[in-house]
Amino acid sequence: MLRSPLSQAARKEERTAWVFLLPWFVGMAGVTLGPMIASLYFSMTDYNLLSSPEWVGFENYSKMLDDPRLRTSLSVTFAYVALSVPLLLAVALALAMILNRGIRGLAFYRSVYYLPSLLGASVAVGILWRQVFGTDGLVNKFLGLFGIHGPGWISNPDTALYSLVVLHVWTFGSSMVIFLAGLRQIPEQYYEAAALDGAGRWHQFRHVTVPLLTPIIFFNLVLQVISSFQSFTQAFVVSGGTGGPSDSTLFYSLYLYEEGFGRLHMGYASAMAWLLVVVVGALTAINFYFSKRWVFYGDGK
Amino acid sequence: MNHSSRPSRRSRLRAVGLTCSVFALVLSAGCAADSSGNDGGKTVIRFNWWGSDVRHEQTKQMIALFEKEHQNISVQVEYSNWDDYWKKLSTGAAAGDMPDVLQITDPFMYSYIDNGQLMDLKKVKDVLNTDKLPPNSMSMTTVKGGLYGVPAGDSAFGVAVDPAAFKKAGVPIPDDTKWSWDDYVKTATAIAKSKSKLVGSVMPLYPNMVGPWLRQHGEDYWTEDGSEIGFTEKTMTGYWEWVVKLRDSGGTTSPEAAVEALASGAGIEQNLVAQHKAAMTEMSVTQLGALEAASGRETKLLLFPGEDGAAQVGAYTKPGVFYGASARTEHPKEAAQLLDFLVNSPEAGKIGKFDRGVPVNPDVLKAITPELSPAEKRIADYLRRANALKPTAVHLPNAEAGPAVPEIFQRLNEDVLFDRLSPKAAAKKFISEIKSQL
Repeated sequence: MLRSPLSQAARKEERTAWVFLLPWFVGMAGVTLGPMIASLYFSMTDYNLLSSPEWVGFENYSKMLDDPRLRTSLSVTFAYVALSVPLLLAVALALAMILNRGIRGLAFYRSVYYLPSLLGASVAVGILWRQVFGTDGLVNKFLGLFGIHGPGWISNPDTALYSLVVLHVWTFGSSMVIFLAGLRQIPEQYYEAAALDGAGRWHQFRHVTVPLLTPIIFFNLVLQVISSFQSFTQAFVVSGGTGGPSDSTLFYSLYLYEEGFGRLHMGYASAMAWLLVVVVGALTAINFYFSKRWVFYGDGK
Repeated sequence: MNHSSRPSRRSRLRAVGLTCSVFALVLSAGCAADSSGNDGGKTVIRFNWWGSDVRHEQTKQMIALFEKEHQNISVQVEYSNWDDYWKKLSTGAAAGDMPDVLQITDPFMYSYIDNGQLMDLKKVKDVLNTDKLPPNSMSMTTVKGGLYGVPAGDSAFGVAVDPAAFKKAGVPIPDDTKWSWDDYVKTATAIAKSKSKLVGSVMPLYPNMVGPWLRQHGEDYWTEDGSEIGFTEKTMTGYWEWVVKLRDSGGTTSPEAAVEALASGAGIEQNLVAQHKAAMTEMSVTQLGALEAASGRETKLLLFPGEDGAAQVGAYTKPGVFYGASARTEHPKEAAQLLDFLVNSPEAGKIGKFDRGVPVNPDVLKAITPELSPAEKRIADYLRRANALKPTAVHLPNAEAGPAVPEIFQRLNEDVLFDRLSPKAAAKKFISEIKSQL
């Protein structure tokens, strides 16, 4: 097979492109790929960081089968994802629709609502959350006005996870901005046509907005499932790094961190990281599989 | 001028050159970070510790004095709080980049000793003089004949009580030579039920009272050689039954409030006794100075309850903090000089006082005694009273499972406090979880 010969100028250009891409490749290899391969190796070893790793094959993986805390952390994380992702998407879509009605000062509101998604996973907000949902926090002071004696939301194992769900839903801004862009793409004629046919607000939403927005909803859903499954900072800060009280906020990545850096079981933690890759990959695959049934791409597919 | 919109060959080359030099810079900066070695003819050694702001300031003063006495050595210091310290140290050790001299403590140091990360200090005994250090203060860092740490100071756990709060509640301060664990609960309840509206006792969440409890029942966390668990399910169940009794008595803070305080990483300044809201708390006695500074009140130290008629003395004093050196240090002699200065220099002792515990070197203690504050005198007095009970030595923890015990305890303790596990079920789980770490 003959490749069409590149002109000298084009080849030079290609070389320049490679040079400029180099930083990214170095980063990819050094910061992502290298550690991933290393962790795959560590996951098959007994490694405590303080002495050299010892090969143990699949022992770490079989150990995961009967680790009750691993099961706890998985169920905590699944509950967190299942609760917070749909709630977040609903709030984001609702706000986007309100903002899309052409109110004044849109840029201002957009920024204000976007702000939490920049801050949500930060340490400062985690600390703030402790103040807001603490025994003597803002929420309980407010409830106190109505004579309700609220629990310590973040320090009671029955409610701690829900306060983290609220924290996550609060970071709806980035999804909202994407929804807003999607809403802008829907041609006004569709609404006019629907209105002529006598469709009210709800029918317009149900039969025009949602179907045309499904690719955006799908995109947000995939991103949110992936990112919330890996949530770490919120639980780490709010629980003081323990996943407590009583393991009620033991996110998977928090448990992984505790095993690796707290108990120095780096081999086991590496194996856990690979389980995380598999689980997140599987969830994404499931999402894509079912997307065929409800995502509508307008081009007849 | 054709292609005027595209960069000329020369400017493209310049861009490439720039990119490369940025890379070279980043890479060389990476190498420059590894800087143990020589600095203008001086030997540079690194020293890491954890602690409070007070300790950071004092230690920097001590280092300045050391550098003045040893003109050929420059000490690079790094310090952090407790949590960050161990995470940083373990990753540093994995990268072969441990500090030359470092602060360590049990049970975490045993992972490092066991894996050969710490230097056997017997190798540098010509420089590091241990003659004045009592042998029992070094028993914890003596493993298989090697010495892996020198004690920074003795400490103990105890109960701090605020006499002003007791007076306000109209409850007498118990006699700590006679009080029982039931008396502790009764005292806390009496204070909470008085008109004072005070909390009787801070809810104990750390395992600090467990050691004395087990010892009073003739047991210990570990068997004498640290190879096996040294306590029974029955005794541990008893402790958690006591915790439940204390919780239900109404004499303490709610479990929720206690958990919250713990999660916020609250220091002794945020302790309810320091804030005049509670009358009793368990704590490490060397924190008394900080507690009094925060509360502005004179605070009394009591021995733990239950010593009267116990199978074995529960109280124990032991060094709370040690200094060690990296096994891979390139400057063992200079590291040993610093260690020697830290434990044997009266001048260093005068700066650090009791912050890391009561100095075990009698000469150092004697030198600083005239300068002690009233709180520090009470700490010394407490340790004397505890030692007068003639406590037996605490058994060395298991190197593998020991470091995990505090974390396992804390979690199961929360399960008990929130009624997710019965005391008996928690005790059973405590033993099985520790066993799984062996």
